[in-house]
Amino acid sequence: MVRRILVLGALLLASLATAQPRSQSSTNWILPFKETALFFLPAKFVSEGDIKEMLWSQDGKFLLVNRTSRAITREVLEAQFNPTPQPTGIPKLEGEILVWNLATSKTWSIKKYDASTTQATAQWLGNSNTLTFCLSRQKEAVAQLFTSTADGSVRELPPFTQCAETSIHPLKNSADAVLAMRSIEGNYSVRRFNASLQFGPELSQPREAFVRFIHDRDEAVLSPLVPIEEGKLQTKVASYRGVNVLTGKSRSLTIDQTEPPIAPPDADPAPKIISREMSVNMTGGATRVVMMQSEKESVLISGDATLALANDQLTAVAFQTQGVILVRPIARVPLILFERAKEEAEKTLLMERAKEVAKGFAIYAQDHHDTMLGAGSNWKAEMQPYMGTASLLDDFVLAFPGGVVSSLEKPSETVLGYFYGKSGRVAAYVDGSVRWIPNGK
Amino acid sequence: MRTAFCRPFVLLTLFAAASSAFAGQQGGPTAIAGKEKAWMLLSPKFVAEGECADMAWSHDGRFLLVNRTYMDVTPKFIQQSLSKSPNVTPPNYLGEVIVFSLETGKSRVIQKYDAAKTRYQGRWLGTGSSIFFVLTSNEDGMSSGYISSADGDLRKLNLGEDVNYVDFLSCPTRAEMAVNVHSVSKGMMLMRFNSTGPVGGPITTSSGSEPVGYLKNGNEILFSGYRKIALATPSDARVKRQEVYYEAVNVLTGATRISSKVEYQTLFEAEEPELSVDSKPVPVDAKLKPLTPALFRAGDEIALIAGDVTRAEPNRQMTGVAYCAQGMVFVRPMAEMPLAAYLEAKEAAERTAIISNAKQVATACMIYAADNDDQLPSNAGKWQDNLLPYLKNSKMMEGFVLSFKGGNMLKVEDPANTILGYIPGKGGRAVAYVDGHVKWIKNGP
Repeated sequence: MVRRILVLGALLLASLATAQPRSQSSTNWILPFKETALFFLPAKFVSEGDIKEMLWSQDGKFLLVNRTSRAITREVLEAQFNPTPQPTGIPKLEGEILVWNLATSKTWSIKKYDASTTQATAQWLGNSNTLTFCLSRQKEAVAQLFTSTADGSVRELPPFTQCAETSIHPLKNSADAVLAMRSIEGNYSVRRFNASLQFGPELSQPREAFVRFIHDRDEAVLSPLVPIEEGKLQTKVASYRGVNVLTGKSRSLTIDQTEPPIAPPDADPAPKIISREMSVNMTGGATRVVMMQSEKESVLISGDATLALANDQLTAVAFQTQGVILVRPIARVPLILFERAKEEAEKTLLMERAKEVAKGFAIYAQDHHDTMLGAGSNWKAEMQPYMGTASLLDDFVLAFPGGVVSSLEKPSETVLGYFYGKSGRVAAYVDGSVRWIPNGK
Repeated sequence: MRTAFCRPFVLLTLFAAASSAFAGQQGGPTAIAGKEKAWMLLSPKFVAEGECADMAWSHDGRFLLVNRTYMDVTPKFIQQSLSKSPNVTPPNYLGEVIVFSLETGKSRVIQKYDAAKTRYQGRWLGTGSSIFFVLTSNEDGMSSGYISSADGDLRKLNLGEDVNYVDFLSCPTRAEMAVNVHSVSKGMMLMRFNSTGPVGGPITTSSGSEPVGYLKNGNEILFSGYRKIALATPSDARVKRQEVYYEAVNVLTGATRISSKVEYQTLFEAEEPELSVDSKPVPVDAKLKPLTPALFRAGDEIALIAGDVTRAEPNRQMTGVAYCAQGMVFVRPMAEMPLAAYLEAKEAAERTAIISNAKQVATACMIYAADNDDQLPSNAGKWQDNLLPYLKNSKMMEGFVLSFKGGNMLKVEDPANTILGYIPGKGGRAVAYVDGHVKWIKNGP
């Protein structure tokens, strides 16, 4: 049993060691908190392209991405400089709404659109793995609302005409959302709709998505969002700031939640995600790094990254590096288990080192008429040739006073020296054996 | 006329993306200017996840060969193994041989293997677009060889039943490869493979693909008329790697030169290439280990490939640069353009950006005035702080000189000709007027 645990511990450490980019040490992959420790697993690839929106679903299992990309290839660019240019068109700006599944690391393409003519905005609905998105073709002033499950069964609604601009505002903890539209005359209208669907890839029987409008009011107000006074929702949903493009006057609105926010899974304060600018001299400019911070320690999630976003459950953090979205899954373990594993790893390491050192001393004694070096002498320099790596002796505390080994009564109980760890020390004996002595003994 | 329009447009779009202040545009195209040419680095393409153990561009620069290993460590595994649960299944340790095509931007898995039990060595088959790789079992030390075209036409090679040692050399001038095989029963044997087909194959079975024969004293192979390989110590059947030596017949620059003895080295063009990759660790923070950005250098010019890499490697044609970041492999395709066109487009893009920024600041001023009884911000004091709430970010105000002294915008007599402020640029300035419009005015008389 003990052996099995050791094997697993070693495997775990080895797995963490293989997974880490060589530029960062393994301690940068673990973030201890008051009660839990976060392990950051190797990154998973989500999507390429220019990211317009990136949102975790409320249950933290899916990541919604709205991205655009222009298929500019080397051929297209170089054709521009051809002495006899071919009439090549400019590649289309392609847009795509996609959902990435944390459990399977797979991406579902929900909807593709032509981003040069169409603007898209996407949101999760408050209470499920359902998303809603709106595509608006500005030239024709047509907006169309869609809902979809995370696995891409899209439902399309009849389009709105005379619509210049749209935005979606989901209401938390319900399947309701508000669609705000600005008509080409500059009037705002707000529609609240409900899209209650409760399915995701886990369910074998997909249900049909359905949407119904439960509120319909046209108002020429300053803000793109008006307070909703119906039913349970009384005053506030969130804070919005609207600027009237005609008068330039701005107005703020705050709309509150009707239900209290979901409590965090444990008592730990949520870690802060920090996207920080750091100067990198060689580029002559600054680069952003994304870090996660607990009260005392911080861990680097990625260098050269922006837009970091962890899900509420803290099971993953998504970020963008060089225009590509990656996700690092997070394992959460009680801090006490992590501390124990760390101790075990330290113990194993120190015992191995002590064995090496004891072996070196034994070989030295063989070479020198059974006489071992003792504390006080210039033993470090003398022992150097007997050590595989010079740094082995660095923290070794020699306790043996020196002398002939064969004259000792009990070499297996005569301490040669110690390596000190945080939770105890390793004693190496003159006969080459080693023993772990926990603190306080 | 069409191309005259088209040409700057595409570049403008790209440069505008490159110089945009949006965080979401990071990783967009960047460019670097050399002496006569300029290169543009396009957005990265994803190649593979996992830990990249080995990567190599094909000779023609169209394909990237990647050997990656990965351990599917899940959060559940970490939780279980730390809590010493007896039911922990150790994660798989897997390997994959992958070829990425620069043209299609897609990766293809050529072969999967169990990385815990198998060792991989592989290389491009000379100048061809086929790969040769050998998988060796850690348990019994037996090897099997494979050849695959870049588009995945894989075939197993008959190296022999009981091969326990394989060493191989790629020919730097032809689509050929010499393979040194040792089998337990048959001893040492030198084989030659070639691939002459179009992209990826087919792998021809010319006489060269047959075993050349067992190495004997003085046995030698003329390798594409270029070099010969001979056995130094023929008395011992189990020839060690160091005892095979390679002799140069011709020395070509820009290729692999085989020196007269054991060692061989790669020499690129006698001239230093204009672009060089630089990836040295740079300290960023006392608490963190240094980050390693990968940069292109051309003289004094610098372009960032990626900011946090473990390695970066361009192909010889400078049509792509591969790098490892976050344990993944990415490729940024590159395009070449004449320097003059690049500088022209760059200037135009900078101009567009400046005009756009000036427009934004002017609009912000208008909205500010509307909110503040038609009073425009004054150039005395902290006008930037006053305007910030009306702008997406403070970078838009960079370089903006507010020349208007402030006051009621309705009382300005001729708002279309009264200057609000300007942003100076190369060869001119973007001037914003009190009525909100912006004009580019060239320097000079």
